[in-house]
Parts: sequence; C-alpha cells; structure tokens
Amino acid sequence: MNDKPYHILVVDDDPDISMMLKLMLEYKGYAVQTAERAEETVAILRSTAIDLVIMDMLLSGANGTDICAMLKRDEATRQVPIMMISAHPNAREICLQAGADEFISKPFDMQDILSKISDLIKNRPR
Amino acid sequence: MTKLSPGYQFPAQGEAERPVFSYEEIADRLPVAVYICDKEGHITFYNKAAAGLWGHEPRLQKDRWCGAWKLYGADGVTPLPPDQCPMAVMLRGAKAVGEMEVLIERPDGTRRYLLASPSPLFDPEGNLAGGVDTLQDITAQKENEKQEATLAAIVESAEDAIVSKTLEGVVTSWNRGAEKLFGYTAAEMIGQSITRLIPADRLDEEPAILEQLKKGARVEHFETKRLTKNGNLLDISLTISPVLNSKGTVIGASKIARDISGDKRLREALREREERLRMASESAKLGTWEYQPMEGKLDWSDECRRIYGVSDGMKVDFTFFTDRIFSEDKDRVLEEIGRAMGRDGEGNYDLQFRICRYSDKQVRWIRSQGKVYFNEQQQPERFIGTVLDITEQKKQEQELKDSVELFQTMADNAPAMIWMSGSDKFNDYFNKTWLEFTGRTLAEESRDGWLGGVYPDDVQLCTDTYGQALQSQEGFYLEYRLRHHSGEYRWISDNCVPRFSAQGEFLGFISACIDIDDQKRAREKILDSELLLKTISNVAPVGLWMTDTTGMNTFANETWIEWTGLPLEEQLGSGWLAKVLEEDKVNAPALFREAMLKREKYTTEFRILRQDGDIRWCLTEGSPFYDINGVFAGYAGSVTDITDIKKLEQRKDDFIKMASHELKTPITSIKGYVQLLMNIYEEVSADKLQAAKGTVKSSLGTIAKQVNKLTRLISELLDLSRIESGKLELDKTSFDPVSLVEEAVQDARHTTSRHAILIHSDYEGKVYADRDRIAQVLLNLLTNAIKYSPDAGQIDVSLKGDKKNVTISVADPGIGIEKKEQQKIFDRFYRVEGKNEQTYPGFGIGLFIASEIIQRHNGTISVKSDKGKGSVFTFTLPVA
Repeated sequence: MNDKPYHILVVDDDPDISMMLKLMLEYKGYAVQTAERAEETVAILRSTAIDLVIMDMLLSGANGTDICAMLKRDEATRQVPIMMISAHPNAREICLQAGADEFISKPFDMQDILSKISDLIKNRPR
Repeated sequence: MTKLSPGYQFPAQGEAERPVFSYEEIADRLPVAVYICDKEGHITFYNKAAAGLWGHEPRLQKDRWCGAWKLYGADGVTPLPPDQCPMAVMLRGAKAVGEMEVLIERPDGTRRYLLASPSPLFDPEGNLAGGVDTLQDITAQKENEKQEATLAAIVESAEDAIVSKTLEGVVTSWNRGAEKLFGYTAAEMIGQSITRLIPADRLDEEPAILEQLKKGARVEHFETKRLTKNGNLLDISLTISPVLNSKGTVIGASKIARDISGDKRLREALREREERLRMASESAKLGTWEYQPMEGKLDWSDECRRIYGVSDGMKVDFTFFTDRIFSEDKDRVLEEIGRAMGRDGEGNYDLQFRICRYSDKQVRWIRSQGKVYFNEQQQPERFIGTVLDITEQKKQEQELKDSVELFQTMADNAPAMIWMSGSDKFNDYFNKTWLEFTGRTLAEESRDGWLGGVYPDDVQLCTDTYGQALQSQEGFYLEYRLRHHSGEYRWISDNCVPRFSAQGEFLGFISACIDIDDQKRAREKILDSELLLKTISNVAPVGLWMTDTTGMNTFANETWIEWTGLPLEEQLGSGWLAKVLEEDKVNAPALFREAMLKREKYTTEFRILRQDGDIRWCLTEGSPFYDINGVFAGYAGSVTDITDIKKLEQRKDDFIKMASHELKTPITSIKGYVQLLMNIYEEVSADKLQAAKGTVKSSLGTIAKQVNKLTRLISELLDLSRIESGKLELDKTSFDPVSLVEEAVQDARHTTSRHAILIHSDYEGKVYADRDRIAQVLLNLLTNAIKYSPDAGQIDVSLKGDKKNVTISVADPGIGIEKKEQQKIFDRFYRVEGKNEQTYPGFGIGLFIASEIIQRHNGTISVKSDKGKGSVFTFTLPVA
C-alpha cells in the first residue's frame, strides 16, 4: 500500500451495509466516504476526487442504475469505475447494461470485493 | 177350414171323411208362431206360440196387423208403426214380401228379434182374403251374431297380424292384419304351412316354438324376421299363445305378429267386416203325424213323409219310425215318448233329435212336438203332433257356436288387453287379458266401464279424449295409469280405433292396450337422469363442452354461455373460439387437434374476454369418450376459470423474490462484519487491536441487530407457514392489556428517536388472549406507524373498553393508504407499493399475520386512513 490512499464512495441506503464496507475498506487502507441517496453521488463526484464508486442497485429515491448510466454519460465522471452491488436475482445484467464496470451480488465475499476493487483502481493515477 | 184358410191344404191323407185332429189343435202345437189377419188387417186368429212371443194376447177382430206390444225396425232403435209391419206391408201389396226382421218389445220390457214371413190368403175367386204370418224367434241367433261380430271385429280390426295354426304348423285362420303384413291373402295361406313365412336360416325356430306351445307355454315378444310374399324380410315381434280346447288340451296356436320395422301406429280407420251368417230361414214346413198306440197305427202327412224321406205310398209304422231315429238319440227319444204316454205324464212331448233320412240316409235334425190323448181308462189313445226339419238351423247354430268359441279363445289368448264399446259409448266387452290385469269380472267391468280403474289424475284426460273421439268417430292413442289387480297403478298404452259396419255405420270402438309400465318407468328414469345431468351441468362452476368425432363443438353448458355471452348455437363448431383472445386462438385448437389425433387427454390454458369485459385465464381439460360399442364418439371436457389462482401464483412468485432479497440484506451485513472481524483478529499486533477496539464493538452491535432482524423475518415466515397449514396455536391467559401496551410502546420507542409515542387509556380490566401474539400484533402496528411516518411526529395508542370488547388503536401521521388499498393490506403477500413510493423493507405479511391472530381471537381488525394524512389501525379483543 502506498502513502496516499485511494478514495472510495459507498452509496447504500442501508446504513449497516455502508458502515460495514466503510470499516472494512478503511481497515484495508482506503479512504472511504458514504452516502445514502443516489442523488448525492453526482455532487460528491464533482466536488471530490473519487477513485471508485460502490453503489447499491436499488435505492430509495433515484435508482442506482439510473445514476450509474448518468455518470457514464457525463464526460467529467465517465472515467470513475463503478461497482454495483445488489441482492436482486437479475441485477447483474441490468447493472452491466447501465454501464457498471463491475457487479457483485449480495451477500458478497469480502475477499472478492477487495480483489475486484484493486483490479479496478490499480491503473488509476494517484 | 175354408173358413179360416182358403187354399190351405189340411194334411189328412186318405182319411177325408174324418179329420184326425182339429186345425186349432194343430195350430197351437206349431213350434212357430202363426197368426192370421183379414184383408183389413184385423187379427182373426193366433196360436199359443204367437201369444207367447208377443207376451200378451191381442184382441181378435180389433187389433190390426200385428199382436206385438211395441215394434222396432231392424236397427233396434227406430219405432215401427203397426201399419209398417211386415203383415201390413204384405197386405198392401197383396203379395208375399219374403222374410223381414223386426224387433218387438213385450209388456214386461223384454225384447225379441223375430223373423216374419207373411203370405197372402185368397178366397176361391182369387180375391185377397187376408194373410198368414209365421213368426220365428231369432233372438238367440242375433245375440250369437252380435258376439261373433264382436270377436271377429277384434281379430279383423287388429293392426297386428293374427294367425292361428294347428300344432303341425298348418294355418287355420289369417286376418286382415296378416294379409297386410305378409302380403298373402287368407285363401293363399289357410291350409298352408306357416314355414312358408320363415326365412331359410330361421327354419329351426318353428320346432322350438311348437315345442314350447305343446307345453302350454306362451312365447312373448320374440323378435325375429319373416318373409313377405314379395320376398322382403320384415323385423317382427311375435307373441304366440297356445289355443286350448275346453278340456285344456293344446290344439293349436294363436300367433300375433307385429311389424316392428316401421313406426306403425294403429291409426287406420277400422273397417268393419261384419259377416252376417245367413239365417237359415226354413219357412214352417211342418209335417204332422198321428200315432194310435192301441191299434199300432201311425199316420204321417206328406210334409212329414218328405222330412223322413219316405215316398207317399210307403207304409210306415212305429218300428219304422224308431228305426229312423239316429242310434245315439234313440234311447232318449223312446224314453221321452214313453214318458209322454205314461200314466203320470201330462202327455206333452217336445224333442229335438236326429233321424236318418230314409231316402238318402242323411242324418237330419228334427224337432218333434206332440200331445197324447188318453181314453177313460187313462190309456193313451191318440198321440198327435208335428215335425219340423231343423237341420239347417242346428248346423248354423253349431257353426256360430264354434266360431264364437274360436274367436273368444283367440281374443282371450291375445297378449294385448282388449276392450270394446258400442256406439252408445258404454263398454260391453273386455277380454281375458284385461280382466286378468284388473282382477275383476266382466260383469264388474261392464258395469263400471273402462274408466272405472283409471288413475284419478288421468280420468279427465281419458274422458276428454274419449268424448272427442265419440264425436269425431276417430281413433286415439293414450297413455294412462290403470289399476292392476295388485292394487298398484300401472301405465298402459291404449290404442283405440273406431268400428264401422260394412254399410259405414259407426259401431263404437275397439282398443288394444299394452302394459308399458316398465318401459315408461325406464323412460322416466332416463328423463330424470337427463334432467339431473342438465342441472348439474348448468350449475357447475366450470364450463363444460363436448365435441363430435371431428372435434367440432356440439355442446356448451350455461356456465360457459354465461361467461362468453354467446348463445349455444353460436358456440357450435368452432364458434366457441370467438371470445378467446387473439394470442391464444391458434394455439388452443392446435393443441386440441394434436391430442385428438392420438386420442389423448387434452389440457391447455387460454384467455377469454368475458361478457363483463374482464380478461380471464381458463384451464381446459378434455378426454375422449366412447359410445357403448367402444367407438370413439368425441371429446368431453371442462373449462375452469384459473384467473384468481394465476394472480395468487404471481403474488406468491413476487413474494418469494422479495423474501429472498429481504433475507439476503441482513446476511450480507452479518457476513461482511464477520469477515471484517476476522481480518482484525488476524492482525496480531496488540497496538493495532487496541486501535480497532471501536470498530469491533460497533461491528458486533450491528451483527446482533441484523441477527435480530433475521430472526424476526424468519419468525414471520414461520407464522405464515403455520397459518397456511392451520397450525397457528394460541396460548390464552388472562392479563391486563394496559401493561401489555406499555411494554410494546417501550420496545417501539427504542427503535426510533424521531417519534413520540403516547398512550391514552382509562381502561381497567383484563382480556383473555395469547399475550405474546397480541404483543406481536401491537409491535407490528407500531413498527408500521414508525416506518410509514418518515417525517416523524406523534403516534397515539388508545385503549377503550365496554362490557364485551377492548378496542386498541394505533394512529400515525404518516403517508396513509389509498381507499382501494385499504382492504387488501390484510391480504397475504400484499405490500403497499407505487412508482413514486418509497419501498419499505419487510415481507408485507405482518398485517396478514396480525389479522389472522386477531381473527383467531374472535376479534376484528380494521384501518381508517386518508392518503397523506396518516392511518388509524384498530383491533378489538373480547374481554376476559
């Protein structure tokens, strides 16, 4: 692990899940920011340097997939890798179609998430 | 004698100087009635026989033409004025008019049929002096004729072929029915073997039938085939009865053949062929005789000699006379003569016996009457009398008797019950079969008539039909119930046809009746079961259909007709497809054809547009069916409306998806924290452990919370499965509901920091319920109140009570529930959802479980809500 940590944004309306991810990722040396609503994502991405977004597919208010698609359309945010997570059975296809770079189904395996995160951000400039 | 009868030759041969007896004596002894009128018609003489016939004695020189009390014409109804009587007619024409039939009524009311033969008397100058009339009583003969005609009519009028035959199979009678059925005339068949009618391959039937007949058994409704004259094969039903003579020996058979190949009805008008047997009407050709026993002298008149076949000159004596008597009758005759001449006898003698005519040795029947005159010593001195050849009369009497007997036997052996009526509408004949059925005598039946035994409810129909038939003189066919001798009423068919004389005169009716009770009841049973089937079919909550062998629809029940709104005729063939949705129109019939080719069970689902505009899912199932011979006859099947099942299935599927998602969320959380804790645990350095202490604590707290959530979800699932399998058990105790509410509210307060929960209660008392289950319900309502009031606020819990119930309500200021949703929220798998709504975690079965729990306590649960203004959930419990 290098000096400067990678920044990860976790968006999930279940505070237990986002807290769990935050604790784990921080423990692994990442800098983690959390949000409950999809709408917040756009503002955070514009104001803060984020290396990766982990987002639940089904959120209260705007849908995770809609936001994902929006971010991928936006020139400013397109480069940020997005990892979608969901417990929904058919979620993988929907998420990949919306432009997600990776999909992890709930309940997930932490090692799996960690290895996929490092795959997604290892080439990113610090 | 000239005084009385010019031209009348008194038959005293060769003894002109002394008449052997007086005219009056002879006349009174005549076996026929004789009377004489002068040319004006005044009666001048009548003999005893005439007075006996008339039943009274007319006044000589006063009464004219006829001594009868009342006269009727040959029809027996129209009165005949005396000046129209045969004697008057003859006198007017001054010549013999031949024989005439008249009916007379005596003062005592009895009636006699007479045959009158008036002939003129002339004086020596050849002028009409008067007339002599002989009257012959033919009443017995007439009655025989009538009976014979009756029975002949029965046989002749029958639509069925009625044939009698000897035990050797030789045809002895052949009625018109037989002529029509088989094409042979009576002349062609009588004397021929019955086997002429039997097809070659059925020739062995006849010996079997004859064998049965010889035993005296009847062959009933034997269905077979017979050949007609032109070679056609007929399907017929035979009923053959043995004909018994008076000793009960089988002497032949009477056979009734009914054509069952066509739909025959006894509708043809009956053509009466009343064959009148001609009356032998020998005019009174009387012989007279005198026997003087003491001298052994016998004198016979010319006519007497003619009767005995003896020539004029031939000498006759008593021995010659006795030799003429037919041997079998001889003893009887001699005994009677002896009795007449005996001392104690009154001297009267009247005998019928046979003689052997001298000239040609023919046996003749004669009637001999006489009287013995005794001398002072009481010895028979003279024995005088008359003789009449009655052979023809006897022969015809015998023939009549034979034919009457034959017809009687045939009618009585007929399998049909027969009744007959006259033009006066009264029944005067019932055959043996009828009488055996009713168990009554002919006299009883004749008195009460045909309607006497008819079932009361059917009498009106019979009376009306018969009355109309009498008016129109047309036949009828009726089915009605008749009292059987067992007391039960049995259905019979009555095939009635009018009878007409050869002159076309209406004579009444003859009817053949058949016991059809068994058939009728079988038919009623079928109708009943048809009705039952129809009712079942129409009230069935499923559609029912049938097809023919080509798969074309032939039947749809009321239920299907009601669903589709198309009448039956529009359902036939492929019409039933009209209301099937376009998307399914091809598939459903294609699958059916495929199944039908293999005669397999057919099952498919399709949608229809119901009459009320609803689109409904239908499940149809059909199977091939076969007729009684096992031949494929088509398909029969049902259509079930499975829309509700489909909807429930859909909701169940949704529920399972949702449930798995809901269960995955806490598991995801738990799994993540456990992995985090394991990572921390693997960091062995003590300083790092210390740093992670906060993380470990909050992780364990979250795990505990998620495990609780999981536990709650799983217990809800278990409750659901208990309710579904009917195993939700209650452990009821008596407790204070206020303390329960306080506990539940306390628990709920821990889960929210944003809501104020207030309790309003003035209730004091107890309820009898499962405390834990009621706590579950309360907690569910409180959780919902918190969950659906995201903008916080005050939640009010109220307790009220009366003598019967405790009412507990939970009111929130939340998002509320739309009116149409309010009832559904207590359903299984139902969750308030909407496009713009937030979805809330949970299975959506909480209210369903709460509702079940309250209902199991005989309480009620309900909701009042306005969209956007919050909801009030209220439930009641019976007080302890």
